[in-house]
Amino acid sequence: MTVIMKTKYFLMVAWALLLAACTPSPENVSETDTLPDIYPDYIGVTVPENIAPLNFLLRENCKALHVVASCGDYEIKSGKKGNEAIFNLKEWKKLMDKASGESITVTVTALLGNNWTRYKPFDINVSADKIDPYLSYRLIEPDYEVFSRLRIMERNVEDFSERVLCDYNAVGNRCMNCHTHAPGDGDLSFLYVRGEGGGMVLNDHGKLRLLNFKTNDMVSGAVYAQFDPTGRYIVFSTNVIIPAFHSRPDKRLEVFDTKSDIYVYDLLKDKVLRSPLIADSAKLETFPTFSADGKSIYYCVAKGPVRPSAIDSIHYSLCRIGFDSRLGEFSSSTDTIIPGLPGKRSVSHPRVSPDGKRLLYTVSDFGTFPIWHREADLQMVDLVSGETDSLKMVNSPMSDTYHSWSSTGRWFVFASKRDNGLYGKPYFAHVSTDGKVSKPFLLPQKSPSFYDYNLKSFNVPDLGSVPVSFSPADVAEALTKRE
Amino acid sequence: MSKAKFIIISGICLACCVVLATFYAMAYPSHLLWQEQNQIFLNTQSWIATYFTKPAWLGCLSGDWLTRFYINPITGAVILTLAIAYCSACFAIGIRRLLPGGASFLLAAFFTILLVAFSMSASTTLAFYTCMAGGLTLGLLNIRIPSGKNRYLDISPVLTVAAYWAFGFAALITAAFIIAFTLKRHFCNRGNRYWRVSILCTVFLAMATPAFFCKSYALPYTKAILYPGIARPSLPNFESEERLAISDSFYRKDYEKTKRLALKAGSPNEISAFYYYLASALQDSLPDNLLKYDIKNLGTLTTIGETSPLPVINMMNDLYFELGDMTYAERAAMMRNVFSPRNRNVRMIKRLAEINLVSGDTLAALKYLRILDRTHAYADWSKLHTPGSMLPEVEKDILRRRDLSNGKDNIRLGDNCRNILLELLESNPRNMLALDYLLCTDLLLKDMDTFKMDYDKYCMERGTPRYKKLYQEALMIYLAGTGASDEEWDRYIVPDQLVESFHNYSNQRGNPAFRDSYWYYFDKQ
Repeated sequence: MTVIMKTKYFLMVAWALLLAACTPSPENVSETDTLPDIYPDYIGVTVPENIAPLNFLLRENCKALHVVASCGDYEIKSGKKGNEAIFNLKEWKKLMDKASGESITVTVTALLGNNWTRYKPFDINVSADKIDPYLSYRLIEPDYEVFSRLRIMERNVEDFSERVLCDYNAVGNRCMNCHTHAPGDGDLSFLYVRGEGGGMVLNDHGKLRLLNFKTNDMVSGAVYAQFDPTGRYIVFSTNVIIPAFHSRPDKRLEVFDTKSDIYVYDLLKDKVLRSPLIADSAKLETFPTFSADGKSIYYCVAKGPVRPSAIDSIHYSLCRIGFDSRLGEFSSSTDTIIPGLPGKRSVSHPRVSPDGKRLLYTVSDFGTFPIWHREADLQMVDLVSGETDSLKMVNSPMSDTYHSWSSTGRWFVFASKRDNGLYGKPYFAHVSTDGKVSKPFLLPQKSPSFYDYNLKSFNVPDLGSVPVSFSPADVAEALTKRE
Repeated sequence: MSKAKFIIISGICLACCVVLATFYAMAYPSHLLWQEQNQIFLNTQSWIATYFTKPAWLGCLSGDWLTRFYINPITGAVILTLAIAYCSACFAIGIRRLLPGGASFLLAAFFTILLVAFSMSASTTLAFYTCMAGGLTLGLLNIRIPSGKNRYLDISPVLTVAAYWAFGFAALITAAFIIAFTLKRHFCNRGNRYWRVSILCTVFLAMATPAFFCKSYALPYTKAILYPGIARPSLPNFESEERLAISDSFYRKDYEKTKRLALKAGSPNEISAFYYYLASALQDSLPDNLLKYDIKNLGTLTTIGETSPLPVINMMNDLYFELGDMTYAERAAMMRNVFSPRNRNVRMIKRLAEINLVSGDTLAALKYLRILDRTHAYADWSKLHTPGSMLPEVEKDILRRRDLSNGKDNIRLGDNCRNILLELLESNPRNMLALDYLLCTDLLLKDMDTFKMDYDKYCMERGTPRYKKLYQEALMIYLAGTGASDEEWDRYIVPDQLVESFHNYSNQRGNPAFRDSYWYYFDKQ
């Protein structure tokens, strides 16, 4: 054994001894039949086997926490002063490998005052369905009206690494809209930089270019946009967006469109495709998305015009129009899939699962901006049987919306304000092959108290199978090289 | 330097420090508090970890950590003075090695004056000084390793890399010192054979390190090399100090002091007027004091947005919070946070906690209370405001404010304060603050018809006439102007000396002897 190795082992043993000396061990433990009040709530959730350690904290004034997570004979421990349980990444990965397709049992023992208390153990179900590892989101204060210092980030959900995709410093502190992956191709994506000299920045496997397909007859630049499955087309809406405020403080903000239309942009031919059926000035068409086979476009529509005083009478329906991707032509008629009706029946943000079987959408009492609607919930319709799942296991009393599917269709991510009604955070839910949706879990963080002290919303989370190959400097460069 | 000379210079420096600290504590305390309020420092791992995502982590971390103590003006003054003194001392030591005594003394004195001038701007943070202190300290180090018999290799250039990592822009100062010392050594004793290499390395590392790291720090090169930013020197801004002092006394709920400071302000402006009126209103004397301040600004005609000055956003936050409009108070608080450095402002975090407590949104309030619980100065405040351990007087105040706040829902497209005041009065007619602001705004606009309509609706029709001299004077103008009957006069006007005064004024309109009356304001201003 070399001197270096000896020294290394000596240091490791010394460190272990030091930790053992500092960390109190449970003794004279009393049992309780209640579940621990942990944050994030990981009790009974279903997680993918490739998820980062589910570190959590106990919402009790405890002096120390001793947590054992086990599957069969294999167990890992987190022992620490304070109220946080933080697992070792390598040990966690090993545990998840063993628990794939099964569940792990977590036993929490806390030093409350001078007594150790063991809570009722809880299970975490580990799905063998892996999730796309790369999650992009915009970090923004929960206030759309003004902004400063925005960032678009990409987080690897398999560990805790995070990198900046676009930074306010690179784009002159301008507004940036959210980053969207193409279905089935994680490194084909776009984001939108607002303001003069801005536009849609297309990332084609690390090659960035600025697209500016706005024409004079469009009411604005692209607002809500999605790729088609081949990556050739981008369907987008143009919206005149009006911000407003509710006088009652619990309702906070309202945003509505006074005009909106839908178009398709052909990346190959650099051409905007139109249909009067989805660009009707008498109607408000928005939130377009392609079907999984690219043969139709789902979108939301309401009758215009909108009067601010009657905003609560605006209900968006979910509709569909056919699209021939070979010819770049629209069908001559539209179908209404879900009619917009009073009483929690305004549809927004439709997203079709990659296998084309299900469509996930948001319903709220009225309008087009569910993030400040506490009643906004996710629902899922089976596109084959037409049955609707109200996703009771997924929704919360606060806003649950802005969802996107993983490339496998086994997971979706959505932004939920369930913790405090203000700050959106990314939650993931598992969808089994028979369409059963499990209790969602919050994106784990290295420090479980991260969300307590964070003052940014995770805006429009979007999953990607591979990391995108660009940096803030690339975005800045793309903006300077206008086509 | 002789011992006597050293003692004299030390004595002068010490005296300068005492004078400077006294100046900050006595004449510039609100600028220090502004710094403290314009950030938040959390004692949490995740918060501290954020400093490592940018250059100058040590300078920014230590600067922000120390800024927490600015909440006490004396402590703040001492910290800032010591930071300036330390930078000056490092600079003086360095320059003394390079230049003869007289020249070095003059340069050091100039540098110190410059440092003091930097501190006069409210936007200069302590992190600027801690970065500079770090850069100067590293610049003074002269690290050489043996490279043969009586030979040494100067490895100081690598310090510029460390300086950039820990102190950002101050790496340029480190590099400047290293280059100067290398040149000095070469020209004086020619002891360093590799002086050209040393200088080239220093210049290269100082310029290339930010270029190398700017991608990982997500900064453009020009920002990366000067991170966290270079301060601008300025003269003391006593007008700004005056404004900040008025706002601070209001923040501390010392309304008498607020009014006193506003009245004796050397340069009264819209902000001092606003706080004078708001403090008066909270003492139920807005109508009594409306005409006592030369500048008229109730804030009811002010709108805020991305171009609004930060003190104006603070101002509107205070107004809406006191009026009871929690939607717009929250909007202003969010806006103020967004435009603060690192999007954090501790005064607004406190305000957001209060707003959500008043709104009954406990989960949102807890979010902010948990944050405040991890701060140096506001942990106790947080505990005393946390539901369950709340002080009875805090609870009482929250319930009082909740009673005043908006209960009905409407969609608002802009910050039209008149509509907001009407909504508040519809929800709670006993909201005297809203009533006075509504009526006083009408009077400042000299819109007598609207004033009469509002007075009728919210005072007469509810059977609660508000007998304030200002309103009586305004009503007399309206009644006289519309040729009201005696019955009308009897209904609105309480017969006293004021009626006689009105008749006297009517015979001599514009007479300055009546300058305290609304009649005079109506006619002349």
